[in-house]
Amino acid sequence: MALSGIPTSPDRRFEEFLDKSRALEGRHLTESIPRELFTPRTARGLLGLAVSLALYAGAMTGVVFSPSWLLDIPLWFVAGLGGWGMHCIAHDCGHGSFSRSRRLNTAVGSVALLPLLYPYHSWRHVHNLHHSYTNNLELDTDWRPLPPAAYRRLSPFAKAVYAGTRTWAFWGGTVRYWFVSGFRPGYFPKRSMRREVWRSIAFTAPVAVVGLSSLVVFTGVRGLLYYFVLPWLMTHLWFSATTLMHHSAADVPFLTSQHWTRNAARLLLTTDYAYPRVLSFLTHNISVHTAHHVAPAIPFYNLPKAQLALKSAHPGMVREERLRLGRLWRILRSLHLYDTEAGFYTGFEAAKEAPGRTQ
Amino acid sequence: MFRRDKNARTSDGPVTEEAIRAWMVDYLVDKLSVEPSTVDTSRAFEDYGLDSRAGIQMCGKLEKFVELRLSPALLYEHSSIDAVAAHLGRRLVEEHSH
Repeated sequence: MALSGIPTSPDRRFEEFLDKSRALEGRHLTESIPRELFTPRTARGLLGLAVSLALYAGAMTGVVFSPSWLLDIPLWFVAGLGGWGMHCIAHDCGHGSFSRSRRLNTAVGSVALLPLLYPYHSWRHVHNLHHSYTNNLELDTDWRPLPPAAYRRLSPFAKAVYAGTRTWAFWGGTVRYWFVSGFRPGYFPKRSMRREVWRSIAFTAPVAVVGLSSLVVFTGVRGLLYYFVLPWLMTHLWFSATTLMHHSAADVPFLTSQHWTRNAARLLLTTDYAYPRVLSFLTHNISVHTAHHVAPAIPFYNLPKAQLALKSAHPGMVREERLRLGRLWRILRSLHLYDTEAGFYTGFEAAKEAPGRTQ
Repeated sequence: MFRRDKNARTSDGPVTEEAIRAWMVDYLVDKLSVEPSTVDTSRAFEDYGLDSRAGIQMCGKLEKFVELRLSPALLYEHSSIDAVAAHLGRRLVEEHSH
């Protein structure tokens, strides 16, 4: 797959994007955010963790005493929200914005990722790679679309996984990332990363083995399914839906390294969703996402103020939408592959076109 | 299982364009069982009979050497040892300046 010269026929949308990108060249984006917003308040972070842990534990207690599986379904959904909220706290730990103590960040992050059984440093490093290469067609680690020709060359199994996680099984997108990166130190390019990943695995793997085997011994296979697998999948449902929506839109391009710039990746390639207040509280402002990409060191409780500062310094640059399920539906229905002519997403129908039309 | 990976980095010194070129020559010598003097760093990879699978494997090993995430399309975009070394040399300078 030769990437130079892609997109081959950029339209006005792409040119407008490049104009915005060029306007940001040489600018220090973080300078528009007041310095005091970078200071973590550990007690506030711990309160956030307590809220999410209580939501997760409360919902799981509900499942234990629930009289009917009909009630279990909403309880798993709420448990997933709690698990996702815990992930969002680990997210701050990973960026060093939970506290100034690296040890405390590692300890809290490792515990907060247990509902996902994601070794903390595996998650942290793969997430940092996403920050380093957001919407880079070659190097991003999250939801990077394939060009139709590359999709056609996949094995039937890989094709089914790709097609599934881009449509009906989108909740499995982050399960795949977990599978690819969670317990595979060799995934990471730096020796220092691999060392840390081994350390995290040494914590998470024994907890998983003891925890899951105890579940089977005391509650049977049904218990494993009810008290771990389903809430784990529900946490992935939130994880996948949120991360997919942040960087996928019909008018947000993916870029080859030729057009990709750090500033544009930080400011122009994220969509923020205005959540209802209660959801924002329970997900720790995860969807105030542009300010987070511009300055990952800002703690979650300061992101709304940082976002306001950013919007006022760069009018018209921050993408915002109201949260609607229709947005997710539109992504799942039509944003699947990379259109090498236009530089934006296209649907699976592009893979059916005559070979040679698209790369 | 516990064999040391001879393609991994063994020092903490900076990786230079020259070091990348030398690593790639070593890799090809090892992979193709040829004499180092027969490896022409300006020749295209496909002239050595490297298929796409071997190219991706080489990229994976090179990623560990330069300690950077690399595009799987790297060897398509930069089709000789000299071209890859020059490209990665520039990228390393950029990465270290941030």
